[in-house]
Amino acid sequence: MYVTHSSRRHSNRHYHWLIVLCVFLITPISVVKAQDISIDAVNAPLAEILTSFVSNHRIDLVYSQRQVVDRYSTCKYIGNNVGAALACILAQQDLQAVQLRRRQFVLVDIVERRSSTEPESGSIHGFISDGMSQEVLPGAHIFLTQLSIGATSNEAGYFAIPSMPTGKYQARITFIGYAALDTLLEINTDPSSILLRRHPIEFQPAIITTDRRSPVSVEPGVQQIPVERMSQLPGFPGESDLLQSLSWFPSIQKINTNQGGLVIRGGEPDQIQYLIDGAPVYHMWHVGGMLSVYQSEAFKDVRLYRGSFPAEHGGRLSGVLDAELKDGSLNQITGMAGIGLLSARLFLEGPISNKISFMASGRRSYIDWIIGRRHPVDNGIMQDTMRTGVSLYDVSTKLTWRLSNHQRLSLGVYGSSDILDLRLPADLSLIRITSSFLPLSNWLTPSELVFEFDTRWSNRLLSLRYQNLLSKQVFLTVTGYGTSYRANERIFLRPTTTSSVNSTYKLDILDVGLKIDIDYYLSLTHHIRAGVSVLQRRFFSQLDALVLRTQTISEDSEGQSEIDNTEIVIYVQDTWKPLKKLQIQPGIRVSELRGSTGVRVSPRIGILYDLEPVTLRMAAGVNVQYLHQVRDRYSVLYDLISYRWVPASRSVDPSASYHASVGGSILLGNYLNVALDLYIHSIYGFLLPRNEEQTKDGLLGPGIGLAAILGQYTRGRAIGYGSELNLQYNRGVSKAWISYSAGRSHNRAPELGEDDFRPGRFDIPHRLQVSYQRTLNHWVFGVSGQWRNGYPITVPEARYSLQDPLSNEPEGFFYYPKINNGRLPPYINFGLQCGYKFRLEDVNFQVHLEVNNIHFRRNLIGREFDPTIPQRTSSTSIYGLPPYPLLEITAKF
Amino acid sequence: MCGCDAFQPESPSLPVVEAFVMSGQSMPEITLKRTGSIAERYQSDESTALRDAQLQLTMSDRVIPYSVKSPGKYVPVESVIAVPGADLELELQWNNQIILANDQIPGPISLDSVEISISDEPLESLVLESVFIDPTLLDSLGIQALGTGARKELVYIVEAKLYWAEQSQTNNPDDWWIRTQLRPNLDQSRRLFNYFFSPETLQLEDNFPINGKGKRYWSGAYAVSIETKTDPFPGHRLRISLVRSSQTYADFVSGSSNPREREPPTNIRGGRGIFAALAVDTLLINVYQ
Repeated sequence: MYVTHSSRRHSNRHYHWLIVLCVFLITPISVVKAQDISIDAVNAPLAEILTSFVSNHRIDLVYSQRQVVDRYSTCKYIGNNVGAALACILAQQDLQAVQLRRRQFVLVDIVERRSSTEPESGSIHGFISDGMSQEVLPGAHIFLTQLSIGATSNEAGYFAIPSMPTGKYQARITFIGYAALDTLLEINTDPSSILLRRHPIEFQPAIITTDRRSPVSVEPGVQQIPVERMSQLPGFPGESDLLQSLSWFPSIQKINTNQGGLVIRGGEPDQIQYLIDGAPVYHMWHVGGMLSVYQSEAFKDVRLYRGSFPAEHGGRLSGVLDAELKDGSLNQITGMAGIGLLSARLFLEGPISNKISFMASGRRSYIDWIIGRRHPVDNGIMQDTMRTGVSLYDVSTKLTWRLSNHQRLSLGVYGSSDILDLRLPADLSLIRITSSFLPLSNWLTPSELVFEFDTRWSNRLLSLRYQNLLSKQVFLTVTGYGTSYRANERIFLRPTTTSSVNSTYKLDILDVGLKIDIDYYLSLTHHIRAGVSVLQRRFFSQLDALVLRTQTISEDSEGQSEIDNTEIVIYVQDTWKPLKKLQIQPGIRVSELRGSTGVRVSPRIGILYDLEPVTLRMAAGVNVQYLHQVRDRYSVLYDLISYRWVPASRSVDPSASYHASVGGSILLGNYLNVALDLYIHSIYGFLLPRNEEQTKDGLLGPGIGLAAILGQYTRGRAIGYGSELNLQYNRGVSKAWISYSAGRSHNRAPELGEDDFRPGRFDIPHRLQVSYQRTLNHWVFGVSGQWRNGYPITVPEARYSLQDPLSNEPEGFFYYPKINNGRLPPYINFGLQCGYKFRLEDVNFQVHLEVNNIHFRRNLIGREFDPTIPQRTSSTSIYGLPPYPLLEITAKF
Repeated sequence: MCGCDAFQPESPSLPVVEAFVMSGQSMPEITLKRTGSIAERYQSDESTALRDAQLQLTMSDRVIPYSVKSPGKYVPVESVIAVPGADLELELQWNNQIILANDQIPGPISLDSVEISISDEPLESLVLESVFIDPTLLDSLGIQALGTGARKELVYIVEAKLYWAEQSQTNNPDDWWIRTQLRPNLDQSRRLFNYFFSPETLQLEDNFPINGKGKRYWSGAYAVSIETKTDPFPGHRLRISLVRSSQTYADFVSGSSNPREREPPTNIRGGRGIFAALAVDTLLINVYQ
């Protein structure tokens, strides 16, 4: 509140005043005890009395000079009640001290308020949006500077600070990537509309949203990711990809399996929930995990919760990635087009009317357009059509209808698909080397012995969301969604002219859910969020395999599995701010998977405390996961790309994790943010393979029956602990990023007699990543480096031989005393990045070149041991990629 | 918190048991040895023999002591027949350790009849070095992920159909496993043929079909390579084996199939190796066109 200085009138009135303020502070932390306050003032200047009172009793009192200038007070008080003492001081002044929270007061004009039609108190509330596109901004911070009161906008950009005395308040609104806005906010019936302007400097402030001026607005455990900033971090394959960028955070590791995904703190990839507009996505990776289905431009907000989630999130043990599609601009049509080594992409957004906006985004690979998908071949004897269909795409669209100031309706549609469709001669020597690369049919000839590998998988998602500001203190969000994941794997192989292998495998997951979330801004110190969700899931898999070994010998494997279940969740959490520097967020989540083992209760708590300039945080809680991800570990005919999800049941318990973390961050000079976190967790009931070394090396496995799959797994225990350090430097044209994590992740399978923990398959004791970028006019140069320990491997410690009665000679074996008792050499990768920006005909172009592995290191990514070789170095090394350049060109219009 | 990179630890020597008790036959010679260094070729001889061990078998309640025949070789002090259905326990004392193992003796098995057929003419066949699929290699663009080295050969296909009588004991056939094996005496790589033609199998006995005469049967095949289409069928000797066993031996066989990846599971508590009771029938025949 600005102070209005009227000209001070000098009065010749003589006065006598006597002020005696006796303050007895028992402890230095302002614990006021009985008889602490003693006031004896006679006709004393009000401003001086209040100043002295505030100073001596360590309370916050907000008032304007207008309210106290040329006013005098007479008060005699002895006692221990601060409110009563203030009432004594303000008697006969037409002023009232209203308590906001413990030891925090604001002066209110009684006369002014009584004379007007305004209520005595109300809410400061409103929507925060992008100034250009009017896209709502979730997670923006509203901070009333004089009161040190803050709030955070919800997923609809809405915020509310209730129970505020009537008046105007100076506020600062901040959001990552936007210029801070200083404004005056006042109590209004209608919500304020606050528009933020994008930051003029492209390099955005720190990612970890630890604003020391409004620490209470940071949720414990959450890392809010500015999409534009993340897309600037280096990543394979050089295309803008959100999930690739996330691996720059400490303890978040992108794994190199076709299971795809990330692991957090050494956990398993299925322990992370991926959400798009509130709906789950099951397989979020293209082509063997190289590229995620998250295209950066399509999303306005991505939140990653590590270990500690608010009560509204659950169903997974390690983390939640909550991504919101952009609503689309209401201002004008804008777009972006880009082309990289793997794919080309297009993004458009704009208004349809003054209340309806759209966003559309698409990406598609183009290699199949170059090499073709079908190739007729003819050698004069045989005719055939070979196939090389390799493609991927993802599309997302969103329509948002601003029904009124209070209501909004949005429809999000998302889809992704991968196709790998090959029919080629099984004998690779039949591929002819020709002088011209294209058409590809020049390389191919018909053959009786062919192999076909046709696998395709897709995600489909439809999310309808309705948001309504029911009152100033109640905000309703209703989300209905349907999401599906489908995979088809077909293999055909003709190893001889009289034998064949023919397998078709289908996997479908369908989710239909409804969520209702309510934000209730109960008071200045309590924000209640509660909700209920019902989710109906259907899992379906089908196998039809025929192995024709000879003309008379055949085997088949047929099966079908179908599971339906319903999950019901109720949660409530309170964001409680008992002190202006302290936020406590207790919550509880109650869930039940019908047909499982009953109701599960997951309590959570998060605490933030501001010790300026340091912010401390703590979180603890219980997470429950009802879904297990498994695959057949024997057969090469199914579960190749797809992994199956198996819900908990009476025979398979859900897994549960107990975790706690403490940490802190400090913002130095407004350009260096340092964050340090320590964590520990313990996990029960997740599924571990009974035989970790079993690989898919058979034709017909045990089948796809639930018992056959689950029989390959056993319940596991896991513990993890570690520390995470993240430094982000943003100053002028320079930007640096350092993340370091030190932690362990150990497993054991008690049912297999394992008494001791052993390293988990993604156990990485140390990991360091460094990135530095500098802008020089139109150029951006960067250098990056990654170093981490290699993954655990199982190495032999002795050898022996045994002779089977049916063998002619002994077979040599290695003795593997313990799983993951060794480790690969460190993984090291240095890269260079270079970008050039230019403008041509109102279009902003950017050319981005990235070269990884510039030191020509062949990182070891696997090791095999051969017991037939007698030397100690009897291992075969499997190496990763050589140096590789990546290029992308984008145009924004 | 420290993480050591690629190291090659060494374990102290462990006792290794190699003992196969044949149903209906005398108790067998048992081989006891020690694990060896991974840095050296393993020799199953005196250098790895387990000396100074005390060994005995117990069949049901009957104790059968063993004595040393030669370094690492132990024989029963008296001739005792392995009785079908009896429980077996091996107890080994060595170096102040007690090593134990158990199994159950299956009922005897015998091949009832065998049918052999040979393809009329040679067929084009695909030879793969490997069809091993390792998803962890997909991201590295490693070609090994999908197998390599495919080439064509000409082969004759030999099929064999085996019949045998189901176990007459009261034991549940679900408890017993059958292993079949066709082992031609050929100097040719078997990798592909084992993979696609199934010259051997391992299944629960109850999973084998039964013909009209109440006999269980199984069909397998193998391939015999030739150079040119005009080459005659190479005659050879074929050993046909039929084994009945408990889960112990089945685990050992399935776990021994890929020694580069894993070692077989062991039922030796306190050591490595295998102590299993089997019923075996073997037939040697000449195969010619």
